[in-house]
Amino acid sequence: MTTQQHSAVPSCYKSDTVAAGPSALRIAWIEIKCNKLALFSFSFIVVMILLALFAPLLAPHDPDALNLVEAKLLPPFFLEGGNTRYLLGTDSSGRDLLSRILYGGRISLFIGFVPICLAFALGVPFGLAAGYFGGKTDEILMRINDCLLAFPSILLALIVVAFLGQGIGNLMIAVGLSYVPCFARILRSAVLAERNRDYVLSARAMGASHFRIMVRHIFPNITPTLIVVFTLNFASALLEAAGLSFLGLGVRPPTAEWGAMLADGKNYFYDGWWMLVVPGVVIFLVVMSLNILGDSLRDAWDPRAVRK
Amino acid sequence: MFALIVRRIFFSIPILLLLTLMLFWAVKLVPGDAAVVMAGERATPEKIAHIREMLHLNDAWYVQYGLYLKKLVLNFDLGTSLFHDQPISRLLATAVPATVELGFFALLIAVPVGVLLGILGAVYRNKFIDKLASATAIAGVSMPIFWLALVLMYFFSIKWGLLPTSGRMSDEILFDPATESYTNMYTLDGFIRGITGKGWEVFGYALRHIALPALALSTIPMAQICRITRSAFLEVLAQDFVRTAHAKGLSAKTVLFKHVFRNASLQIVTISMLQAGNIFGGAVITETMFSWPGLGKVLVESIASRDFPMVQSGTLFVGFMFVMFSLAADVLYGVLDPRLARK
Repeated sequence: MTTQQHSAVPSCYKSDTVAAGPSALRIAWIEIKCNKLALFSFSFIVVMILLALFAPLLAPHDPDALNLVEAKLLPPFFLEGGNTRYLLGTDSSGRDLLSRILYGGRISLFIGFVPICLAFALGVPFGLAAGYFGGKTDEILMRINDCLLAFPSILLALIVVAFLGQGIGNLMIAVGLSYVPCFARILRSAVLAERNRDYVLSARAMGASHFRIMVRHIFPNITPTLIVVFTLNFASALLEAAGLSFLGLGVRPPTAEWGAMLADGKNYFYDGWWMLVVPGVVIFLVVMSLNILGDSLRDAWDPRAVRK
Repeated sequence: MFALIVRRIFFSIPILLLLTLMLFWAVKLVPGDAAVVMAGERATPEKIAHIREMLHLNDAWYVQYGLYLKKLVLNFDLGTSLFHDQPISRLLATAVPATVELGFFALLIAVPVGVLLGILGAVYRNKFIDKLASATAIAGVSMPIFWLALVLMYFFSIKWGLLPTSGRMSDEILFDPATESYTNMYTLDGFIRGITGKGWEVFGYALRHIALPALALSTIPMAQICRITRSAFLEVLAQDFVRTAHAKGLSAKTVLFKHVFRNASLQIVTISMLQAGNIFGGAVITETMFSWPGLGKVLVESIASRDFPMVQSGTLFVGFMFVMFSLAADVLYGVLDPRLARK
């Protein structure tokens, strides 16, 4: 929104790329730098992504290697009975929890990220068209959208899993589809706010096609909104995917995934509570960091917040 | 006012129709022959033929859809569960009250706490209490419910032995013919018994069973309501009429509750209704965690047992509830803001 052009001279589309004042990214960076919590969250997410990417280099053990004889249900190293060979302890099959968290991050982050990209790819054209054309197109598209919105997202995901079958691929399709209506609706209202601005009118006067106006003119101006929505929904998609895996409808054991690890641990209340605490805390921290980051990006880019 | 209600009901009809059409097609999308999938690999040809007949799979799709709609609208026939071999309406009649009961108690926690935290956050903006409220809200939306459920169970049930971990009622009461359920909502039953002088212990047991699931289920709505209340209050507090109200000497309390609250209430109602729709639409994870035999748990089970008519009707019911809640929200707007009703 900070890339909006307010110059009185009707300008050609080229001027859209000439930033007046600091760019949106720069404003976001300043906001994140000033807000310690946001900076910490941002770093935490980056670190978690790096850890997941380089899991094969960093993991001390094979995440799927069973060791029922020597290392069954060892507590983390700082507790009595734990040792430094298994820093975060082991699970009921003697698998190293730290390695499973690292490898699990690859799947958990992936099955949160891919659906949001899918929802983005489907929801953005949907919302863009509805907001830009208005009238009947808008009416029809939004009624379909209302229908999809009528399901709580986890339920929509469950239906897709129910009818398509279980497995990682279907899980991602399921979670992705359940976020399409949300993207479409927010995008539509963002486009509605833009479509009558001077730069759109002048582009139209210059003879630009609808497609060109939508993609080259309106889209760049709503990118900040999209990034915020993307971040916040990434957080909830991660939770949802982990929840579905926890219910046994997504990633199946023995694959290391945070939600499935929690499901493994739920019967070890007494003698292996770390099996619950470790993946639970990791999911909680990652989701919370994404939420904090999303909120501070919104604060940075929301024109109303600037005015206050 | 009346016109508004009629118009809104009229608007929800196409949404409901689209919903039935979507669910109708969802069943068609099941890979392979739907009848074979439903009957299982080793079903006899007669059973498959029976299912084909039952679902009218031999007719054109619009005939099938028409028949489906006709049964649904004219006879309220939701079909028969393949797994339980019972009418789905009967299964829903026990599952839905359980979910409604749980959702009611969750909202009873979420709405007052969320609104109160939101108001405190807005009034004491950037003070310690605002930061505390914001931190609670952000932790609330980030907490995996299944994990919170386990943590609550660990402390309240296993460690301190205060509350039961699962189910809706203690077995001795459940199987005692003297305490037969009237409504399928055990807290309501207990309350009625208490009022009519038959003792309060059933009510007590029911409350103890519902406490943990309701608490777990309330976190996300509470957090969302808190965030929206805070921002709605901040928006209204910045407006001119608030300054005028202060300037003409009204007490801070009057301004806050008579002027600001009324104006902020629209957004609070919206988010509360949306969250209520979500909760009543099947608190899938909470119900599964606490073995609460509500709509969400029934749906998960019917998905696992590939009971497609059950999934179809259950989700249709959920969608219907959600549409009703958004309708209720729109009507409430009219009550809260008469300007909207007049338009």
